[in-house]
Amino acid sequence: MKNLIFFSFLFCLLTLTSCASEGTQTSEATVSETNPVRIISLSGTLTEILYALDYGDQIVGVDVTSSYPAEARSKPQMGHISQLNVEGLLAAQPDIIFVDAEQADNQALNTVKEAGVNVVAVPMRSTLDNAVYATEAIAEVLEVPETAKSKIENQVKEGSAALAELVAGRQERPRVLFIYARGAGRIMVAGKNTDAAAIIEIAGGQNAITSFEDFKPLTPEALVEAAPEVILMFTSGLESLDGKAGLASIPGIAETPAYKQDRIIAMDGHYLISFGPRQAEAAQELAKRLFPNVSK
Amino acid sequence: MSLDRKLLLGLSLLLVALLGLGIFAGAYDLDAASLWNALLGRGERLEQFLVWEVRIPRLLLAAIVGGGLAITGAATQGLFRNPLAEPTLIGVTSGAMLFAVIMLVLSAVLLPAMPKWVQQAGVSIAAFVGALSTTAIVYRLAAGRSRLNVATMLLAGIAVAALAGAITGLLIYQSSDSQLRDITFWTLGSLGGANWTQVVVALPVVVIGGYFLCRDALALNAFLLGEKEAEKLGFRVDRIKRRVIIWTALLVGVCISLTGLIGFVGLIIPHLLRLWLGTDYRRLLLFSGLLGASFLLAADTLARTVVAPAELPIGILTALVGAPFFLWLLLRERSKNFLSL
Repeated sequence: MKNLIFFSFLFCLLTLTSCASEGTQTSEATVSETNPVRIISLSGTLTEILYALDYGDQIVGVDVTSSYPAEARSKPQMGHISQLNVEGLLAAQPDIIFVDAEQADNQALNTVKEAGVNVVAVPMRSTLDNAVYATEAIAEVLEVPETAKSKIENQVKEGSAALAELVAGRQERPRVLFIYARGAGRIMVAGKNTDAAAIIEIAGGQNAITSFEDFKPLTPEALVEAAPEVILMFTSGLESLDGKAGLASIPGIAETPAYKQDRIIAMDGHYLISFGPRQAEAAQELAKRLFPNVSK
Repeated sequence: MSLDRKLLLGLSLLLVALLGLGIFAGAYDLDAASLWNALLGRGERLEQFLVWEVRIPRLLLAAIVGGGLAITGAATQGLFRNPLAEPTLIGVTSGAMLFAVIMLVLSAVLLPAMPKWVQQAGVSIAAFVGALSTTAIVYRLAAGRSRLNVATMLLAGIAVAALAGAITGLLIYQSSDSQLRDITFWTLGSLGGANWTQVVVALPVVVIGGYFLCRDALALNAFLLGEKEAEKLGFRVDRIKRRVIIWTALLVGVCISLTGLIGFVGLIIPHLLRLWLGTDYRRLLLFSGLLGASFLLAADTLARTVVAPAELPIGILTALVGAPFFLWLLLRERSKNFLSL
C-alpha cells in the first residue's frame, strides 16, 4: 500500500515536471538577446515605481509588499524578503532583481548573484522625493526614457508644492500617534526615526512619541502620557481591531483627546508610507485630514 | 533477514528515494534529461548551478540536520529516562538562541563594516558557542563536586532556559524592525541558505557524533533500569552521561547554528520508532538518525515546493506534518501504554 502511494506520487510528480518543462521551453524561446530584460522587484515601492516607468510587463516576480498597482498582485509571488526561495527566483529567469538596499544582503540573494543575476540594491530614504532618487538608481541599469523619468519628477514636484501650500503658515502642529495593529494582541506604536514619524512630520503634524525610537508595544500609561490629538492607523490595522469600537476597548485609548474628539485617521498602508511616486499625494491627503477646517 | 537488517535497508532506501525525489522537485522545472545533463556537468550553466550549488547542498543539509536532531533527541530521552526529554532540556537550544539573538542585535555595532556573510557566519558561530557554553553551565550546576544528578540537571536546564529566554526577550524588545524580522525568521528555522561550506561543517560532526552516541546504546539501555543498576552492570555511569551530553550539545549546536530552530524532529522521530520497535537504544539511536534525516528531507522538499516560487518556514511544516501524524499514532497505540519507558 505504502509503495503504491509512493509510486503514484512519483508518477504525478514526473508528469507534472514534464508538462511544466514544455512550458519552460516555450518561454525560453521567447527570451533572447532582442527581448526585454526580465525583472523581479522585491520591494513594494520599487514595484510601484517600475510600473510608473512602464516596466510592468517585464516584471516576472514580486514580493509580498508589492500591493500597488493591482496588476502587481497577479505576478508570481516570491514571498517575504527574509524567506526567499533561491530556486523560485531562478525559475523566473530574471535578468535583474531590484531590492531595497537595507535588505539586500541576504543569503538567498547572494546565491542568486553567484548564478549570474544582476541584483540591484536601491537605497531608500523617508522623503517625498525618494521616488526620484530610486528612479535614478533604476535608470543606471535600465534604459529609462527621459519622458518617463520627468513624469515621476513632475508628479513629485507638483505634489510637494501643493503640500507646501497646504501646510504653509500652520502654527499648531497636532500630536499624532501612529498605531500599528494586527489584532488586539499585537499593537505597536511608532517612535522617533520611523517611516510613520517621517510622514506625520511631512504632513505638518508632530509625532506624539518622543521618548523612544522604532516601534514598541503600546502601554496604557504611555498612551495617556503621549496624549495624542490624532490617531493614525493603516486601514488594515483598524480593521484588525474591528474598527473604532474595537480600538476603544484597548485600555487607555478611550482616554486620549484623539478618541474623545473622534479624530482617528485610517489610510492604506502602502499608500501612506511606501515613499513611492504618490507619496506627496498621500501626504496631502493626510495634511487635509489633520487640518480639516483648512481644506474645506 | 533479521528485523534490524530489514529496517536498516528499508530506512536507507527511503532516504535514498527521498533524495532522488528531492533532486527532481523544485520551483525550477527540470526534466529528467536536463537534470541528468546538469548532474554530469553538461548543458546550461544556470541549470548546473541550480543542481550543484542550490539543490544538492540543501538536500544534504536537510538530511544531516534531520538525522542529527533525531539522534540527539533519542539520546537525551535515554539519558533523562524521560519520554518528553529534548535537547532543549540541557540548555543547548536556549543558549544557541540567546547568543544568536545577541549577535543579530549587536552585529550592527560589532561588525558594521564587515560584509553580511561575515555577520551571518558570526551568528552561526555565536549560536554554536552559546549552545556549548550554556550546556556546560547547566552541567556544572547539576554536577557540582559530586556526581551528576539528571533530575537536578533537568531542573537546572529549565531554569537556565527560562533565564536565557528572558534575556532574549529583553534583546528583542531593544531590537530594531529589521533585526526583529531576522530574529523571527531565525527562530522559525530555514534550510534556504544551505551551501557546501555548511554541509562540510555539519557532516563530520553529525556522523562522528552519531557514531559515538550509538556506541553508548547499551549503556542507555542499562540506564532504563536505573543508574545504580547500570553501575552494577559495569557501566561507568558518570563518564557515559558526560559523553552523551557533550556529543548532544555538539550535534545540536552545529545543526541549529546552521539552520535556526527546527522543532519537533528530536521529539517525534524517536517516539515513532519506539512505537514500532520498543525501547532498545541499539536500534533506536541509529534508526532515529536515518528516519529523522528522511523526515526533515521530506518536510523541506514540501517547504520549497508547495508555495513555489516562495517558500514556507521549515519549522511550521515539521509541526504541521508531524503533529497530526503523531497524534494519530498515539491514539492508535493508546492501549499499549508505550510511554512507560
